[in-house]
Amino acid sequence: MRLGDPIACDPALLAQYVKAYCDEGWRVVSMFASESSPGSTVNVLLRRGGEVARVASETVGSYPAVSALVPAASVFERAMWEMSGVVPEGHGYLVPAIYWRKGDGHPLQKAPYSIDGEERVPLPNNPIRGAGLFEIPVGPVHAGVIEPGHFRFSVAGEPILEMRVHLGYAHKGIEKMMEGPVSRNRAHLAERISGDNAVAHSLACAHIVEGDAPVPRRARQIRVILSEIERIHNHLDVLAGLCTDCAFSVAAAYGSEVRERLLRANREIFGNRLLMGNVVPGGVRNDLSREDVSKLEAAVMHAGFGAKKLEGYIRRTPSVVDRLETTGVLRTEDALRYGTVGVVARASGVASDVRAELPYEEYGALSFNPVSLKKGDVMSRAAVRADEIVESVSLILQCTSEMEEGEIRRGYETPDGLSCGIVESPRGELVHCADVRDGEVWRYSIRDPSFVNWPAMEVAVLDNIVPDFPLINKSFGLSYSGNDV
Amino acid sequence: MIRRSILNLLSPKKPAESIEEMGSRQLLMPFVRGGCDGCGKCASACPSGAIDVGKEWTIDLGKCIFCMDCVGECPLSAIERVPSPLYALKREDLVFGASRPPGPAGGALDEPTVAALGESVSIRELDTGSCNGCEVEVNCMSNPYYDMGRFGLKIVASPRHADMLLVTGPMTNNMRKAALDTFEATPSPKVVVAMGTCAISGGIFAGGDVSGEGVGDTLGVDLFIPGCPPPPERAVLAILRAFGRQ
Repeated sequence: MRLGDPIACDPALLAQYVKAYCDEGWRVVSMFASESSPGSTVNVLLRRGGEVARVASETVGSYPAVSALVPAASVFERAMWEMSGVVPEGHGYLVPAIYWRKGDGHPLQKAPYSIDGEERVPLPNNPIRGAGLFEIPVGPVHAGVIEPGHFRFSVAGEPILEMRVHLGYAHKGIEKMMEGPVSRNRAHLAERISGDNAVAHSLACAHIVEGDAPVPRRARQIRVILSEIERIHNHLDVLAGLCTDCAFSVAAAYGSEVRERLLRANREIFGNRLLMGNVVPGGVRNDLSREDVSKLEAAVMHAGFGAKKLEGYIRRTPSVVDRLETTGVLRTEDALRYGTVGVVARASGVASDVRAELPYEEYGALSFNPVSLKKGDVMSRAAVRADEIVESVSLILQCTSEMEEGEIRRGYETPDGLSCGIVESPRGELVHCADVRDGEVWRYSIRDPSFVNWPAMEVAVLDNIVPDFPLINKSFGLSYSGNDV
Repeated sequence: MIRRSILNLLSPKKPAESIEEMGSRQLLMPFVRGGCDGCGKCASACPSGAIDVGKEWTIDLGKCIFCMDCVGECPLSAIERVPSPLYALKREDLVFGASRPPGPAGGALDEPTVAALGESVSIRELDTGSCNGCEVEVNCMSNPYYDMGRFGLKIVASPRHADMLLVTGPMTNNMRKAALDTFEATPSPKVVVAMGTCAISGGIFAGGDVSGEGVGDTLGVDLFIPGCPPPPERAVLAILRAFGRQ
């Protein structure tokens, strides 16, 4: 989606501008600095339903922090500060977010920069102190098979009084790698920003590369099918993972079996278990034959049945329900305050879904019920996922029943200027932005839904006991690699 | 009652797959047997720089991300899809060309290590910044279809309990120290496995300032499992075969 002219403002007033928007019901969806002469342009992307606005401000060196008035901007400003060298003055918690390296210059500036030494800058201790209070460091190498991240819990006995998330271990500098001539094929790199959300990331990237020209209808339908299959297998993974984390092995085994069958169908139909390589700029790579479609329908229906059966297992087992209910509550006001997206927001009473609000591909022509619950606990997030799987099955079947023969790829041209791709990944609203100047990608910004949901977890775990943290973490189902890019 | 029987029909009670079943599925890789005129179109289409057309057409399976973009690029249609080997014990064994075509993988880890570790191997998975595709597949290795526990392979919670480090990811700068600490914490004798293209060479992330070029520079690797990501049955089989079983 091409972004029009921004609302330009003086850096001293940027915070007030953004605050005024947020008071009107807009939400900060992304924030990044793009180098310009002599300083940087700070871009704030805001969204309210189907409207997208951009506030831009030319800054040199520093500007008054937006997060002083809008807390949701905090984590963006931390990343901007270490990656682009734009200093938010008056930021209350200016610790590195993803890069954690010392050296001259900043990686997302065009001037050469250096990296001093091998070590990360030391992690700060939690600010909370007192007699009988302990700080438990966890990670980056965890007990389970998960990605690297570091958590610091301050506990008095069992309950968590404070938790801070320190990420960046999976930081690979993908935003920098995305720069260069627009003609380069970025789809494979985009897929590997977060491997389990491969379709969503490559779709967001394709939306930027394709400009506003629509791809053929059949390709749009196949893209919806791919996105929804991805949502199903991610949600199944979280549901099965929740069962594992509360030692409910029977249901966990069942859930992983259902998911495995879907992944196998993916391999058979689309050539890759994680659907990599299917979305390409201009359309999709593989067409679906008639047999493929019937295999696909059987596979997703099985997954839909399985998800409901799994939810039934969970709901009928009191010891499991006891672990999940009232655990890790994210209140509606916190969900709004941190600008959370996706399943996490929808389980806390914030009904935001890009597919309904800003339809892309074929979503505008399909009908579905956005799922939303109020309680915001682990159980609600599980229930939202189970219900969304059913909606996804319905979306896929709507697509397959309406498919007509046709082409699946079309030529495209990438326009100059600032454009963005906003899609609903399995984790929530995903935003890619690119600043294209004279046929070169000057700055590419990736905002995975995890990036805005991690800070919300810091409040959701408060007053819960440490053994419940794995459950809360799993119910959020966030990506470390997508956050760290 | 009826509902239950429908659901049972949908999930038959089938035991985990046999080794033959798991081995029957191939992971295809691009390969040129002959007829290449060295135009280099495939090499420039390759997103991870795995193809070299300099002397003869060669492909480095340790860099290939199996996207098959090269297959359609060849004006002579000389690139075919052939089964890729399951694993390699040396990094250079993953480079294939007309003079060294890919075949079934062979060889086992060194005798004393295998003898010391026995038939049951405790695995600690170590993510050094992967895209999490490999984590998806490592998790699948324990699901009811592959159930690697029946072969004595199990994931353990601490490196101190482990015989093997199953390393994924390109070894980012930010993870290097933690990876070295994990390696130190693992008792000897131990086996280091580089699982997936990133861990072998950095894959699509190679060449970045902070992304790393694979595990080999930091830890010595004993076993390479190519794939992006490698499907679970291949990882299970590769480990079994490298331990001289099956």
